Amino acid sequence: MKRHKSAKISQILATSAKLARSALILLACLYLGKGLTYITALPISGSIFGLLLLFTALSLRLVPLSYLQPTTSLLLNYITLFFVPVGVGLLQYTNLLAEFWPAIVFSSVISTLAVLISVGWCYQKLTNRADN
Amino acid sequence: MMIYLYLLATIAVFLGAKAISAKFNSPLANPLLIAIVFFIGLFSLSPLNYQHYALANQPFIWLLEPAVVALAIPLFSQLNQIRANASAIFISCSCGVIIAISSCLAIAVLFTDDRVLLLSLLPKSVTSPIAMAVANETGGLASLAAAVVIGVGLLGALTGFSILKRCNITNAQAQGLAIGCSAHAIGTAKAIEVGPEQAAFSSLALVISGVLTALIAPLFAWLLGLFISY
Repeated sequence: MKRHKSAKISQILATSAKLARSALILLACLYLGKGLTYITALPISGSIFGLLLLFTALSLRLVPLSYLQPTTSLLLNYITLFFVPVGVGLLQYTNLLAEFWPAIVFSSVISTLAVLISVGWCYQKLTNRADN
Repeated sequence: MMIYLYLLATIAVFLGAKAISAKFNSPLANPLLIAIVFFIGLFSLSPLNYQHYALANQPFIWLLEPAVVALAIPLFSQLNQIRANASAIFISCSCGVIIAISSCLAIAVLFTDDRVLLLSLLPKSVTSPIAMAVANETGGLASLAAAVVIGVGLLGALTGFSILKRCNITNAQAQGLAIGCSAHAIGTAKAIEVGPEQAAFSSLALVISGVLTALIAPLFAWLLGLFISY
């Protein structure tokens, strides 16, 4: 009974250690990315640089994929949830949107559709594959 | 402390919206849209304070940054596919960025000659931190840029996949690139639900179009300046 309990505790410890390790790697990439934004002074966010850093680290086999999984699968499963407060934030801009809505709505809707269709069409033509 | 109930409310409403959207087979029955409309309705119609909601939900905003870094995982899992199609990917995304900026400006100038407004619309297809930085740099309004970016992302996430299907764009990689180029991270969140290839190529397009836009936006801002003076 006692042995069973200690096995369970060590299992919980191992799981949390793996979670902590994956979170630390992810945060290290993010903050190194923020450093790159600062150094290059480009309008590219730290999270984008961080994504590129992590991708490079994985490609060069500096970090195995399994080291990342606990945190990243959690974040990617709930990424849509994180956008809820972002969307509710549109409330702050009702004055601006009310004032300029024709220019904003027409240009962004038509342009978004144009990009969507042209990129999809272009890639499909270039790779010559309509179906998978 | 009580305001943190709003954080729980976001989770509860989102889960409720997910349950509702599972019952309807329509792109408009999207959990994200339902949850956003619910809270916007709530704060517009009741005396509840939106500022409290924003403060309480700061942790979710903060988690978006590491979540974007985590998009390296779906990207890496499709490394071979990406390598094999690298030039097609780059050409498609470059076209997408140029079409995104030029079509948006071309249509907007029909309605307005307000330079600040035009410059705020320019980065509308890229993820909000890049869009805000680009708007700041070129002379637009970062907050307006952020609002437009959110609207565009929602539009792409809600309608993107059904429009692509209707236009006979059925290749999973092509769909992913198209969603990532047009609807950045919000579209990519939807692509994760659709499939691993769509998720990887959407993340890829998010990165490429974000970086390209950041690099060429000053050029378009300068061109715009030739036609429109202050």
